[in-house]
Amino acid sequence: MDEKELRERVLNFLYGEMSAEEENSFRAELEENAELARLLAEEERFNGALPVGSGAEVPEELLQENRVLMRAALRGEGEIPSVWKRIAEAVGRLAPQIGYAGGALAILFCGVLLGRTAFVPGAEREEIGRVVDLRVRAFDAASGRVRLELSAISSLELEGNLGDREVQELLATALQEDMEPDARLQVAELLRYQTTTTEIRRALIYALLEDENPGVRIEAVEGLKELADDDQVRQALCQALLRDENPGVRVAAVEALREFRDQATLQVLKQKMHVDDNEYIRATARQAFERARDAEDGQEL
Amino acid sequence: MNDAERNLILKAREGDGMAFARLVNPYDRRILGLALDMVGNAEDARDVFQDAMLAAYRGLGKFKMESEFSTWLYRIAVNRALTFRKQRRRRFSPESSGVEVTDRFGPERDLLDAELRGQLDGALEELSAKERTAFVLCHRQGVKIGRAAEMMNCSAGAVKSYLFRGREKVKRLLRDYMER
Repeated sequence: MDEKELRERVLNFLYGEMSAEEENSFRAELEENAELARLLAEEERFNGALPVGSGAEVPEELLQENRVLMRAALRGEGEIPSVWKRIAEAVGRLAPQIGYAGGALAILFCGVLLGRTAFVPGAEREEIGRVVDLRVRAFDAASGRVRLELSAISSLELEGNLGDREVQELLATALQEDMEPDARLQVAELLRYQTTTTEIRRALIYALLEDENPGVRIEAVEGLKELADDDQVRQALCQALLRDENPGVRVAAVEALREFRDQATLQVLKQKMHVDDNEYIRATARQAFERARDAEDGQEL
Repeated sequence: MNDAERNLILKAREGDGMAFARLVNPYDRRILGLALDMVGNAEDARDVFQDAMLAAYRGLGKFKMESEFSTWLYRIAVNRALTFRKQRRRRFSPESSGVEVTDRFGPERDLLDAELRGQLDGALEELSAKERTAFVLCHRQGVKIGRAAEMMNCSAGAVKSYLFRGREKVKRLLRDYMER
């Protein structure tokens, strides 16, 4: 057996490509074959300096930043059509002139029907008691149908529509409860689809500023992004951009704020374009700030 | 492939970005690690990662669900990284990113290996695209040769050949460092 073949066997051994039987035979041969033992020692020295599986470890902040950017890009790829849009389009195809009016009527009908039939009777918040855990068992983004499992005094499942006030209140309360991070993350993800009520807005702001889990805070930013016209929401996003220790959260916040030109937001962007540790945040803040300044025709901000 | 993954794929195919984010969640850390190893710095790895994920999202309709989703995703990432390297050849500059890339053995080892890492980055630049891919997948990322072959769309024998050649080159280029 020439050196090339011996070396190939050594490498098969080192990369775990041998069967148990081949490995035993290889080990036995090492006792007798000095050349094989020498080659193994040489290759093991290389692996000692550069072990197999020693590739670049991904810093948490880089991963979070990339997840946020990916989600933003996915949203740009095409939103999930809303029920309203689907119905309006379907009706519109049949009779374009009455498409939207028909869609509105259909939605109204479905909403009334679901409201009367789908939500489990007697599952109001007051009767459940203090929620200690919550799991999202199923969610259909297109229809808003959601199935939740709650742990209160006892575990129970309820089913309703994300548009139902009871469901919204429950989720908003749950987000502020001391549940497992994974549960809070699921709730925050879900609430992104329904940000219209004051309770949900308040819950998302609370999660953004108080939740200890960066994933939950990122989801909260994603939900609040749609509401950033609201001063209180924008203020919370600015606070997150200024103070959150997690760059993923700050990236999400700067993305949410980049189109706003009110003085308070611009001051925060101006500050971040100089001092943030993260290069992407500095660059995004700078672009947003300079765009706003250009729009002001060079006037001092 | 399990049912949960299959369901997420079906939803993502219909435009559900959240389902896609969940689908890739178990693999995204390793994909980013692969991108880092392939292109050498965080800034370029971000471009490769984003490009690969969007390509996967757009191309989900072409995924036949006959192989592992993760293998398919890796293959896209490998191809994107190779294309990226071809288009924008440039030296690794750690200062170009605010994020420090470390290996898996803690800060003490980081200090000891800072020089080795620099040398290795230089050595990897000398490998051909296939040698580098095989070396990064099998040696740096610890992927088995058979799986690397699926990702690289070639035979296991070819991967071994690229890996061994790449390994010899790296060894030769790092000889001074290794013999100290």
